[in-house]
Amino acid sequence: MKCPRCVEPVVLGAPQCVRCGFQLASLDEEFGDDFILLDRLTDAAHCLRANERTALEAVFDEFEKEFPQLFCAAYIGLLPELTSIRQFGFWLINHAAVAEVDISRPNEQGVFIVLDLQSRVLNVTLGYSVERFLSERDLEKCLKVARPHLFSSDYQRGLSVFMKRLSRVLRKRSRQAAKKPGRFAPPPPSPLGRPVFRKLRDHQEMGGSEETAPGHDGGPARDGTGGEGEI
Amino acid sequence: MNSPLRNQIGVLALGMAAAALFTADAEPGGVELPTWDERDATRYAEPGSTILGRGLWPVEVLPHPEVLLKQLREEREALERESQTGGSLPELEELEPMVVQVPDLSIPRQLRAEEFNRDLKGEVPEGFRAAYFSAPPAGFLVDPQHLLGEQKTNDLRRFLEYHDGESRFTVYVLVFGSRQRLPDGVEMGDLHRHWFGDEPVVLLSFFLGDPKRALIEFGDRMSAEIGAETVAEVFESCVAEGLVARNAFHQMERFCIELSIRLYWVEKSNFLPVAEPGDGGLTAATRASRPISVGRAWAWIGATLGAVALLVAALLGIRIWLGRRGRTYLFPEYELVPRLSAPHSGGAHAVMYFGRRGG
Repeated sequence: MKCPRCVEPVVLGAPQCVRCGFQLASLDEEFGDDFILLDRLTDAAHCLRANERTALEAVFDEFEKEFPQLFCAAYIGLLPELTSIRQFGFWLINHAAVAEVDISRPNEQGVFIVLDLQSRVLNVTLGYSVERFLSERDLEKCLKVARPHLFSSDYQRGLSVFMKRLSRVLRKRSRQAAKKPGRFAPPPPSPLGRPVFRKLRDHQEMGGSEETAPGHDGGPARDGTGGEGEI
Repeated sequence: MNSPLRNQIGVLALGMAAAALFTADAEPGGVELPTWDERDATRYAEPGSTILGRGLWPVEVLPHPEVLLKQLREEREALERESQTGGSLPELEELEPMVVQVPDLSIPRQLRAEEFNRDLKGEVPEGFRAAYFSAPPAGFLVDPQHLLGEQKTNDLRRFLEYHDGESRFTVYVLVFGSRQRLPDGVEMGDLHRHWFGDEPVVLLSFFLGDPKRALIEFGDRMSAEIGAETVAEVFESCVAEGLVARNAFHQMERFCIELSIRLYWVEKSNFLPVAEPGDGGLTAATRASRPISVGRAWAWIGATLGAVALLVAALLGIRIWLGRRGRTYLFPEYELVPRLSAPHSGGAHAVMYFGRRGG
């Protein structure tokens, strides 16, 4: 798992990024600290026709029917310039309440898609429960099949193709998990995680060299220009 | 007023003026009729000088019957005087109008089967043997004795050429008389083997007027591939079709057409063009004892097994598809370990840029 700001690996259980000190509260100033009500398919950019919207809703329905524990939500919009889509996706999944999704499926079991037509970047953020079964490599493969359609501005088709590929991967993971449940179990929290974090913070407070993470205060320029989780 | 309409009115006015002018000329004196000149009037007034059309045709063109009869009498008297035989010629009055005998085109007399039975017997004449048996046929129809007329020969040749263009089997037909027989030492199987080897060629020896005596030679290789039963069926079918007709040529024609049809179906169901080494040299007795070829049997078994395998695979695929269609997939639930102080997601993500590279 990587930090949405500095794209460095995040220590499991760490309340902040050990490198840049990023945490969810860091985004409250930019995006707000309130929960927001979100449709499962929010087309803020108004780029989908009615039939495309219906088709996409059907794909989401099919996904939820096939995977009763999971859900998928998509936000299509024009994000302001200098907005990090990674950080926005991270903030959104932790602050949004999806209207059509029942309470039995909390956001930990969600797949949040953010499509920024301004910068032409697609971001997928996974909840805690889903990330156990989807690696970054899986997500990259799913995103790659959608790229030609998104490139030609066929957003409905691109998202549908992405969802279908994602479903295929999840089906496989579900079968694997049924055979070997321990394979996807999270590792025990690192005993060094918190002490190391404290040590680093103490070091910084004592006037050590103040590390400025790449992308801090404005983030890594725009998403899609660096980081291991990018395509 | 536009120009075309003005022109039409002008033409109409001119026409009316011209009509009025002619009417004015004709009215007072009437139309002057032609008159006979004196010589023509004298000539055509003689009786018997014209025939047909009441004097329109001069006698030089078509003589009057009385004139013709007179000429014939004169010629007859001259002949009687020359021959000095007298009394053998019929009287002119006894001549009857000629009745044209329309021949029965459906059954030409010279081609009736009994005619051949009577005329053509014994071995094929010495002089024609070279044309029949010395070299592979130059054309699809070999008839050095000219037993078929020119028209029939052309018809049959055209049919055989058409068949050759449509089928992978080439048919050569040797035509013999009904009671003729092949010379001693000449075997159609040997001829086929010598001339065509394993090529898909059918050599037909047809004895005009007697389809039952026809010989169909497929060659060793093709006989083995097709099977003795099929060969016999083809032969019987052709003979039965040939016997429907009474006329010798029609018998042959029907025989050849049926052979062509049968060969088409043989080709569709049995034809295997690739010759296998060591399979040649089968004798006629061997062919007769083999009800079905080994290659054909294996091909049938292979095709059946393949079809069954495909069917099983298709059923299995449908079963799997139906099984997965309404299936739901569940995941085990694990204890969540939050990070970055986030309650729902720790920021696991992937990003893709889908704009133009460098744009």
